[in-house]
Amino acid sequence: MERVIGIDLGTTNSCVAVLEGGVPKVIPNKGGYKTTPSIVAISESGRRLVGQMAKRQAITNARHTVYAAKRLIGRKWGSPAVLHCMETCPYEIVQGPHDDARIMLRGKEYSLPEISSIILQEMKLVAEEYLGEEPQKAVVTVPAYFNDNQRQATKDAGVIAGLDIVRIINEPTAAALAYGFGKEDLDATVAVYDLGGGTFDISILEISTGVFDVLSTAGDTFLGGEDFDARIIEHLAIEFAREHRVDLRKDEMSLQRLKDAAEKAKIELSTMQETEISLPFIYTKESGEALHLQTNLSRGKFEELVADLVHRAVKICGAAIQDAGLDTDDIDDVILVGGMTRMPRIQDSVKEFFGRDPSKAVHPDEAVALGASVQGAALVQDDHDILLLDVTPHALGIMVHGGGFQRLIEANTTIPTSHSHKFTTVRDNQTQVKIIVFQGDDDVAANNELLGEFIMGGLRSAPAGAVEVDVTFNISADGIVSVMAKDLETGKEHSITVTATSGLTEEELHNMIAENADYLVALKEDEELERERTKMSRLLREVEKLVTKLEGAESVEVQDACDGATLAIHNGRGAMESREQSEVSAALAALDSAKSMLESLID
Amino acid sequence: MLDDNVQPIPVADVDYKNLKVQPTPEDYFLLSRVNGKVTIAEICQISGQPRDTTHASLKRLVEAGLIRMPSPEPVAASAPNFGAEAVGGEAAPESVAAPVAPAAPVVADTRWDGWPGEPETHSMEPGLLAQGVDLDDAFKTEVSFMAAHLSSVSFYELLGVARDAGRKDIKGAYFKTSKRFHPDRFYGKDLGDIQPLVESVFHAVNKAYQTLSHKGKREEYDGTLSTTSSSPSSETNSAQPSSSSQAAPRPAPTDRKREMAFGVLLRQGEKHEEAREFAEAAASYKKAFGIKHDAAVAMRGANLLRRLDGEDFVSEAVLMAKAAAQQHPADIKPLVLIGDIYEENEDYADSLRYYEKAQELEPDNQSVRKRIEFLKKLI
Repeated sequence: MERVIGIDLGTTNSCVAVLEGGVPKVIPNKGGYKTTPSIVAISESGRRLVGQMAKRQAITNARHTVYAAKRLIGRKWGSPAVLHCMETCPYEIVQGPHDDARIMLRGKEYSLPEISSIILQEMKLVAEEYLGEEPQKAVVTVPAYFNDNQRQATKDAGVIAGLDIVRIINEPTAAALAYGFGKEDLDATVAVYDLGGGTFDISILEISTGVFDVLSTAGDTFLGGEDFDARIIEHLAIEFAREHRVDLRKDEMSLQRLKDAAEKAKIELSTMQETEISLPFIYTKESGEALHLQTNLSRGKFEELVADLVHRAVKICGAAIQDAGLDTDDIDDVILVGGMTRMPRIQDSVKEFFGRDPSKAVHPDEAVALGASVQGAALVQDDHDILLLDVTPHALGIMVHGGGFQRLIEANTTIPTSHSHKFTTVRDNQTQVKIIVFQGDDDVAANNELLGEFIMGGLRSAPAGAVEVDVTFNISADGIVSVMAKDLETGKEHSITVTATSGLTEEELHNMIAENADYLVALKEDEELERERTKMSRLLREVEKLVTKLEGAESVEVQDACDGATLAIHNGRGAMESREQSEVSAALAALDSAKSMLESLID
Repeated sequence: MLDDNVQPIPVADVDYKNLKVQPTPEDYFLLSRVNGKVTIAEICQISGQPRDTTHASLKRLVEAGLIRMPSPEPVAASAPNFGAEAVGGEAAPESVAAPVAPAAPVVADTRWDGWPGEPETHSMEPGLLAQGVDLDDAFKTEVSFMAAHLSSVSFYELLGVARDAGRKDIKGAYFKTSKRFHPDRFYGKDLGDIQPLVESVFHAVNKAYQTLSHKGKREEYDGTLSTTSSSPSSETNSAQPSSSSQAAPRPAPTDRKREMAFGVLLRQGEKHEEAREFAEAAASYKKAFGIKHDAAVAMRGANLLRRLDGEDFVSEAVLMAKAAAQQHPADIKPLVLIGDIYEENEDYADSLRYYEKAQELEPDNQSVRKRIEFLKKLI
């Protein structure tokens, strides 16, 4: 049976899982870690680094190291999200050709789907190593509150990475799947509180007879661990500036070190009351004087710094409960997901709000990937024990006369869903109807996310109101929007997948896929070369030993063999230097035969 | 009225020459479907004819002594219910793994309350049966039936719950129905033209639950129901005058669809023929004839069948040729073919009868005259 892997493409960390023998299992990466940092970097020599490797060199290569790319994916140039990142991120964000944001690394522009594809690719390789075969299909998770543009961009990332994303599911829903998997008799209403690296989601679900029905979902795509870190960074930087009149955030390397220290302090404060932050030589003044940062941070101070963030999350919980038409008493269990939920203050706030201790049944870092793998298997398997009924997080609608937003599909509608709407011409002899599609919850269309606009042309010339166009809006099970327009008179159809201008064009996608394929070939070749070089260095030592042992023997035969071996050693060393695949292979073969020759002479 | 669950049995060794009533080609087509396993409901589905016509045909076949009905026995156990298996049909494995409705008769009895009929009584667009190869026929009919009547049943009827059902019951019914019709259930399966029907059913079920699970919305909806008890659906629509997201019922069967299905079957037959699988080819042509009474296709089937060994094939060949003759009463080719077949099988009297019929149509046909002379000598 075909395998579908589940990938939690997180803001700070990613995780991959697969269902094996009926049990979902997280696949550890080469380093043995179950999660991989969602960090991509291009080294000075132009090498692509991903995950732990990228994280390790971030301090010295801050300008060309991308983290938290998920916060930018599917966002438009000039949107608050992009502006915020431009201020706080050390990497360079530039304007792309489709009014999208792109990241400049070593003189090359990368679109956000490309950056995400590199991470997906890495997770795919992690799975491939474990499964022994290349996984073709994946279920990828996104924050529940992602809009259509962000989902589309994530799908594009999958395409570039050569993965068939069979389904995009929401992170809290995935966590609920992991929670409810294998519990056949479960009949409960649960809340999933998902505070990850970059986003906050809350979903309310009813689980019964294997059906996972999402009642409501709410969230904030700009509330996550990164924001908690930022508060610490800000606090440290301001304290430092007060003392030394230097803004550490202006210096790339200092900022990166601050970032690392802030994250570490935050994690430590989950278990300790106070932590020490020590960053010697954090800054060197023009005068040559070195400055050090040495301070303590208490849990109380930290909680004070982030009090409003914690409160924001609680407020969103209230909205979700209300949307579900429930009271907090109706919730049977609260599931905590995401690394940030380890923070005691967060757990307390959840307990206060829901009036019960949150469940510790799922692993906060792994539940989402596990749930994704469960959904993947549920799709391709023939038994239909599990069914996910998810909702669309935002209302879908169109701009009407005067710039108003007319909702056609309400938020929290179960997907897949569709809605038909009849449009009539408003002017005499009007031959076109322009339809502008938005997603969001504001009554003013322009304040919502523009998904796209299209024109239905070729209408019959007639008095106003005489021509009718039937437009069907469709939201797929992935949460992706498509629109189909039909001229009721002529039956002419016009189908578009709504993509805002910031999406990638077919051609761009095509090029990116090709580029990625080239990279993969190069990567595989590199691995092969590395293996051969390791083998060669061992052979070199062995043959050298044999030569020393046999040298000085009188036999011409032995002398010849030693000469031959010496030559092979010489060539081998040359090949080690040159790193040419063909040379390495040839030298390796020569060494191998020299070795067996020498060995036969010893016997 | 015929009982839908009865499985008619073909009568062996019938004297086709002396039938009490003369069945029509449609009747003969139905006869070819009767194997003692298919139920009348299923025959109605595949006949391509309205239900009443099909029943009339079956009655004619009984009168002609070509089929008989089994002696009545309790059939309650196999009563159609939500999630019932196709009896003897090509049940796809997934239907087994979809235990949507328990076989409890209570559910079965009330499932289609308020619906205009039951799926088994639904005359399905025949072309659709050829679509969605990964589905079993019973499911296709059910979906087609539901999609056709979405606008004429209330949300309660759609979910199969009572008007006073509690929140829990409604949720349970919704979960059950969703498991049956959610597109995920058909992931990677070829649904063909059935797909939009499944989607429309799921969307409607969804909408029903969204209304009935919401206290305010349900009250509002109940209000609209009680004012127009006769036609709840018109009220539903007027509650949302500007537009309705409720999936529109499928348009009535179109000739284009029939034509398509006919074409598909024809090609299928040709393929079999190329592969020298004559029995299969003939079966395809027979199906095609069921969809569209095309004399040429019947002749083609008859010509294939007569080349096969076995008495069954011969009598089927005759039936097909007779069907063709019925379509084109003025054409002598089917008659000549029947004559040929009988002659080949040394049934000279019958052979002569058909050649003479042919001669009536074309008195000047030399070869027919020769055959008649030859046969008369033999007899």
